[in-house]
Amino acid sequence: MTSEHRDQTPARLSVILCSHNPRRDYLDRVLEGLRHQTLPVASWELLLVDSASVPPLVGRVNLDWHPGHRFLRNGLPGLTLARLEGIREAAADLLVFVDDDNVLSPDYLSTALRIGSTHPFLGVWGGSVIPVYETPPPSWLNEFEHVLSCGINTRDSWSNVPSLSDPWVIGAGMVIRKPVALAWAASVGSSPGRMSLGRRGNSLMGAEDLDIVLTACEMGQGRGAFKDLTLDHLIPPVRCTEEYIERLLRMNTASMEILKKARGLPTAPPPGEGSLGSFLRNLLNGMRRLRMGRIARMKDRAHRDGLALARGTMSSTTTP
Amino acid sequence: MNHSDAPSLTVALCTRNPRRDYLDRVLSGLREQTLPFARWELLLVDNASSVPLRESVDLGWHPRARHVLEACVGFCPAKHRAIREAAGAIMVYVDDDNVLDPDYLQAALALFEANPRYGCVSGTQRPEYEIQPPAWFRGEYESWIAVRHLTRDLFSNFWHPLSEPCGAGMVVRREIVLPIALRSEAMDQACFEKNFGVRPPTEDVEFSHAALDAGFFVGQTPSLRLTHLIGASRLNERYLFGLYRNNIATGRWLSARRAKGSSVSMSPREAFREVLKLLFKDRIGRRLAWERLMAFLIARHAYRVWLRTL
Repeated sequence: MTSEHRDQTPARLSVILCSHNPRRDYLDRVLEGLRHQTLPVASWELLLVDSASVPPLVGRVNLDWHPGHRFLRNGLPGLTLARLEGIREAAADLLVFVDDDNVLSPDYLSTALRIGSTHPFLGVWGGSVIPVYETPPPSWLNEFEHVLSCGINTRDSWSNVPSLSDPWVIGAGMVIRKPVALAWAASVGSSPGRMSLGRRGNSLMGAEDLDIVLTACEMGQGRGAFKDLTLDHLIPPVRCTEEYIERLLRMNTASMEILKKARGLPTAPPPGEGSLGSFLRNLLNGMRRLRMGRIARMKDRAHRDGLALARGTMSSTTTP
Repeated sequence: MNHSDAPSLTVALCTRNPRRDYLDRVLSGLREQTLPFARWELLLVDNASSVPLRESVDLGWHPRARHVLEACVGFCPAKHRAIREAAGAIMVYVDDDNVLDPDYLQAALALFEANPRYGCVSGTQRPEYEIQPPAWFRGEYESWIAVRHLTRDLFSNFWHPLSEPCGAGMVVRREIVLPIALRSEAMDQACFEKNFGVRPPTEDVEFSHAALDAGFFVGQTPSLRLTHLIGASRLNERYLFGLYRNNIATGRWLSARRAKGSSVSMSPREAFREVLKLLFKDRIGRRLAWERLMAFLIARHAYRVWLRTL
């Protein structure tokens, strides 16, 4: 096959790598992971979406090793905006979201493609996200690995039940069919609540990935979590502190509540006031907190603050 | 009968002392199926009715219909017997109060032929109440009594409460459930029924778990529709709460058996929460909390009895 012919082969996968002021060594490892994919580069394109990085990434990152690469630039920060840009520009029928701290295993793209053909009923799928710590993490962090978007799948599971439950498919390494991505892109803009989800600058909002998953299920397509798809999630020491985890937990809770509200799913009941039942409940919860350790108290506080934050955000967006 | 003559579907209608008017409607629902008789057989499993159905029910309208007598009383022995007797590769369970829509069997066959990975499926069950049920019962509680309104396909390859198929009108591949029927699992059921006098609805759960264990999908689809006739005798609170209690007790018992006793005990916190509900909820909430506590005691006792029989 001549090189001209190869250039004309339509890409089967579009990798959308969104990045905002990345750590240079991390980004290099991410690109290295992409460079070593077993899937020939002719079969996939690489879109690097620069999400308002200062200075811009174009010219600082060398993607010449990939003949089908493109730089895209978004003037405003925000993961949701960056992904929307990537979706608009993607040429392939399957899209793969890669964050700037996700190192794909060498067979990631080929496995993603294989799953797409063996599981035509799935609209969105993902794999195991393995944490790679720069320094040994404190032992209490174990129970928060899922909050850091990490998790190992021990079996392949899928479902098209539109609920926020197993199997979880998250943004890191998410594989998504173009029609699902387009449907999400077409609907998300009309909802300020849903547009507010996803990281933006220093804000740790999330759950935009779950919004995509629910979109797939609403279209009657499934979501799947696979054990053969794996990626490394690079985690710097700053993300292993109690302060960071508390912020992350708070924002996770808040974004989940905002997502549920925006999609008409049942949200947490408002704190009851005045009734004997709520008095007793508060009393019991107060007693429970007295017996909690430091980490459990942090978790409890982050949860309550997150709910309060979500209520504040939602009432301010609905007040005329 | 040579292999090419074998029907694709086996409809198993298991019944014990049925209401005659209901059974007649169920049979006429079957008679009006659009799928040609040559493609399906009908097994009327008489679970030791006091007047044998062989004498009173005429199945002459269907060239592939048979009466089967199962003397061992219980849902599981009857359903397992049907599996052993069946010639079709796909079983369709029709209860004696399920009136299938005319395209039910055709839709079931098309669904399973088009999706070789579907193992166990049920559909929409519209209720036809003989009398109005209690007002509080309409809506979320109707699923206790096999009433489900589906608007979309719900499928999973693992146990998910929203995609769990229901026994009424259940379609399941025979290869999945045959090992269950061949094992004498009826022993546990007999043990449970003898001790508590309740009908554990575990056969549906066992069938769907078997499908999942064999790597198939289970789920619910609105393309299968039936009418569930619900007589006045089932619409009083005593029956409904009893059904709720039994469903929870057998669910707990079954998962305890699967998970070696892990979920059969109630944690102190769980028990305390139920007691709070007993004190502070409205009438229905109090009654439900009470039934959950009773279900826990029944399941724990049943599990202990079952352990002794091993």
